Amino acid sequence: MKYAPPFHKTNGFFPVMLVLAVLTVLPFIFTDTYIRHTLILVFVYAIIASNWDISLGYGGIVNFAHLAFFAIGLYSYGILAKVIGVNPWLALALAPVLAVVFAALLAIPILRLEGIYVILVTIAATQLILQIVVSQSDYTGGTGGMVLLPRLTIGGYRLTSDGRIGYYFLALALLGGSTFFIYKLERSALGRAIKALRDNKYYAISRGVAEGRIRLLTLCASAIFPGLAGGFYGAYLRVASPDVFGLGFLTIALSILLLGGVSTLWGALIAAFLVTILNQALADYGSWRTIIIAVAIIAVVVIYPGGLFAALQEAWGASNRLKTDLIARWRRHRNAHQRETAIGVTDRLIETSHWAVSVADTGGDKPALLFIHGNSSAKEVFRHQFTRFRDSHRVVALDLPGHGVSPNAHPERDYNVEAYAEIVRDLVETLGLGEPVIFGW
Amino acid sequence: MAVETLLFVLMSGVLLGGLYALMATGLAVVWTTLGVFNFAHGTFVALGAYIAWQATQAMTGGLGLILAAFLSMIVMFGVGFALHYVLIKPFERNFNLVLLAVITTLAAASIIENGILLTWGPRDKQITPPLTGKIELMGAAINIYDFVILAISLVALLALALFLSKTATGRAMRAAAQNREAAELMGFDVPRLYAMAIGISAATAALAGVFVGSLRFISPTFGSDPLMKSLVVVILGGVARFTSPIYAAFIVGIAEAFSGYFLGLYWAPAVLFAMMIAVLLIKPEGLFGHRSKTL
Amino acid sequence: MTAPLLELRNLAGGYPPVPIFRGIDLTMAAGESIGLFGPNGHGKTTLLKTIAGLIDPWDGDILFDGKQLNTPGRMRARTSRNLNYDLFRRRRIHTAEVVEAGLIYVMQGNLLFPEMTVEEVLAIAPQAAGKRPGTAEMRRMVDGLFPRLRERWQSKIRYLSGGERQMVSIAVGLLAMPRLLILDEPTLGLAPKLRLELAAAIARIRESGVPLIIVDQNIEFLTGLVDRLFLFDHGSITREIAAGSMPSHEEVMTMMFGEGH
Repeated sequence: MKYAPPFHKTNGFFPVMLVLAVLTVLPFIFTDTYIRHTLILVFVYAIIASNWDISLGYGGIVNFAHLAFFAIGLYSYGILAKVIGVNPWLALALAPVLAVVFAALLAIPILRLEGIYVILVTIAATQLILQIVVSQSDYTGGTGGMVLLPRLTIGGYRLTSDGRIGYYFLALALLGGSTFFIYKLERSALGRAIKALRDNKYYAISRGVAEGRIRLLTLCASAIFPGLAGGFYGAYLRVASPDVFGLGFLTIALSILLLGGVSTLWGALIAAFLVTILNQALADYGSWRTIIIAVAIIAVVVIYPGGLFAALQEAWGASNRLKTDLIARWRRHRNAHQRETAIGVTDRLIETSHWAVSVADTGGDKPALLFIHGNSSAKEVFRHQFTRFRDSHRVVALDLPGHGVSPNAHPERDYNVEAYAEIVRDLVETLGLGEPVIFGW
Repeated sequence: MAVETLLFVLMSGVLLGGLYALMATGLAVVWTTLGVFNFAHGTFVALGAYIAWQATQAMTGGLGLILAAFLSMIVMFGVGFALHYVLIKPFERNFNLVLLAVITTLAAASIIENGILLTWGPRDKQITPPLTGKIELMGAAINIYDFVILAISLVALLALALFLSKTATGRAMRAAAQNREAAELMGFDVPRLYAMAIGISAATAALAGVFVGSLRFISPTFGSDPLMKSLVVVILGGVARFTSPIYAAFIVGIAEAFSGYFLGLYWAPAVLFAMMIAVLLIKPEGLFGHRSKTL
Repeated sequence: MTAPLLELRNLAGGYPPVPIFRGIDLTMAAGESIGLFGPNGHGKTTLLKTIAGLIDPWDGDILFDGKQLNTPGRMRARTSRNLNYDLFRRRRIHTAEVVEAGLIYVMQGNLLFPEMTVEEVLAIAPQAAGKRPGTAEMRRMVDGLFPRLRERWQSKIRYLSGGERQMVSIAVGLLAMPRLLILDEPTLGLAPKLRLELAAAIARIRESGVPLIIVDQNIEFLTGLVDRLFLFDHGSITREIAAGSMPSHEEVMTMMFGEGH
């Protein structure tokens, strides 16, 4: 189990707090309504995409009805607030409830299904809901949808006032709540059970994870905030249209999910930002917009299936490696004189099947002594042995990868005993040591 | 309830079924050969229809339609063939092949749909049916053209079945579908066979598109209905044998006709989906299926 | 002196990132047959799959009849976990080329093509390998080798027994006119009677002049069929035994696992 420290101790704490602070202050600096509108859309898409991670990423359930949760939240708000006349805030609170009910109903058929069947059932379910929505035009406005949905007010204050700042903060609060929820869920026992079912179903079941119950909970959990977001969307845009069941919406949501990387919380958030901005920027291009986004999806999936976040992580890792490599090189250069004085030999880099290692070799035809240092040490620890034996023997010592001044190597492939053995064997061959006496620990 | 009315509904169901059989078989071929679900199948139908329509603008008359249909089928074969290399082959060895293929074909569907919109505009079009006139059958008047469509669909399916069971290439495709490694070890170029499978499914989709285009109006988004119907058919019937989706297509066609008549147009799709979900719950491999997915 | 039929030089391979075998050096002279023996899970099948072209080798050379089948050089390690290397990397060996050159590999425990009939499969086998078909002659050859299949010609493969499927697999391999036939555990899971039948068929194949590489768990089965025996252990060839001095099964087990096995 990965060590999961509390959030305020992780690397992500500072960036997230910074972003949160920026977002909170932003509307007071940039009073342009369009920016706020775009950001509200970003928040909504981010909620949808990151919650999709619960069922798809953590749960491994390919739920294509996820957007239906949002749509149901939207229409619930519309029907409750406008047609039935419930208080808008109450309608907003009830929207996720209805979405969760739908999720529970959806879970029943797919409780035990695998792979492609889940996809097909969920798509069929979405279409079914669409058909029902379109056919009940008395309540839902049919293909035209509903308009003039009630707006949200606090006391007498309309949230649209002051350039929609009220809606902005409401959306931000929802996103914060959703992110917090997902974060906590992932680290909870339920989250672990969800992931266990994804990774190795039968083993998880044999260890007591109840497949049906957990799947049900996974789907319901992934429906809460999208349902809320749907309700919010209805209150904000004041329009509910069947487009939310359509291919265009699915494409955008999917592209966010893929771009960010499935099963990464922060990836979905970053990608939501990028894709929404892109979507808004291309708004004038009509059909080309969808084409461009679809091409981008194909490109990402084909070339780098891990998504943006994974790419960032790998880039970060690569830059770290580069950094330590440069440090090692600099140290190798700077301390050369000291090392030489200590053991009396200039060391050099020798290529092996596992990158290069730094080797000190007194040379000559005498019988060979090979010294291998232990963990976290370096070849200079044998300096006394070098002094003592160099006249009678050929003394050789190496820095294991990542130690001393040897370059860093690949953690999984090279930092293990088998790799060390192969390196030593390669050295014996390359330097022609014959059958050396080996000392080390 | 007049018997003639019932017969008429039945007849229209059968005619629908023939069309659905043509569409669904293409989807089933891809499903059994590559193991993936091609979400762009509906847009293949649409694109095929539009290409044929464009061709008929250049040539007129009944012969023109036949040529247009052939042209459309050939072009769509090429499209399907090429799309294999772009959308599916990159993930051949990936564990999540099915999911990734769903995503890429969905994206491709988006591209094709919007491409159609950009090229031909949003207004409905129709391919002029070459035959007019009705025929009396058991008291009901049916269009001759509908029968022609049914006949051609069945002939096309028969030709496909013969191709798969008798010709070397067809057998090779089946082999590649059933055991990819063994087929490779025999020396087959499996990716090319897969591409041909998608090409064939696109060609049958194009033919179906031509028919639909001459029966009803075509619009850029009309591909989603064939996709859903093919989905229902393939799931209902399963893909255990070549004939499974064909039988299921007729069941679906008749069910749709009857529920359309008795329950109204709005509820017919819901009935079909309910049937599909029921089958998935009770017998996921389809009404005519057994557990293995092979051709 | 004629060139060797098959030469493996310092061959290494596996399933990235897991290495399975390395340092494989093997030479098969023209006309000889060899056996490969060793416990399960040590990489024999992976090695054969690599030679057959299903998996890319990581390093080393595969030379068949003097012709290099794989692209030489070491395969560069994948540094990224997510990048889709299949998109950029060219395959370093192609099954189609291997089959065309005449190196035919018959997989172990083969399920073949469940829904196809025996006749259909045998009909397409020669063309797949780029050879011209000849139905009557083909039928005669298969009937001669595997009389048991005579009544099964029209049956679907999923209705065949394990032994019969194995026979079909070998027949498919033979129809490709192999210059070298590799049989991976041909008698795995078969009843003793079938095992004898298959052994007889394999012996006749060998007599007809087709060189063989046979992998099996049982030394006695291999004795008499092969000229040399190689012991495969933990991803490398540990011993080579010539025909004359074939040890018994017991002796080999002791060799590999020590006294108390």
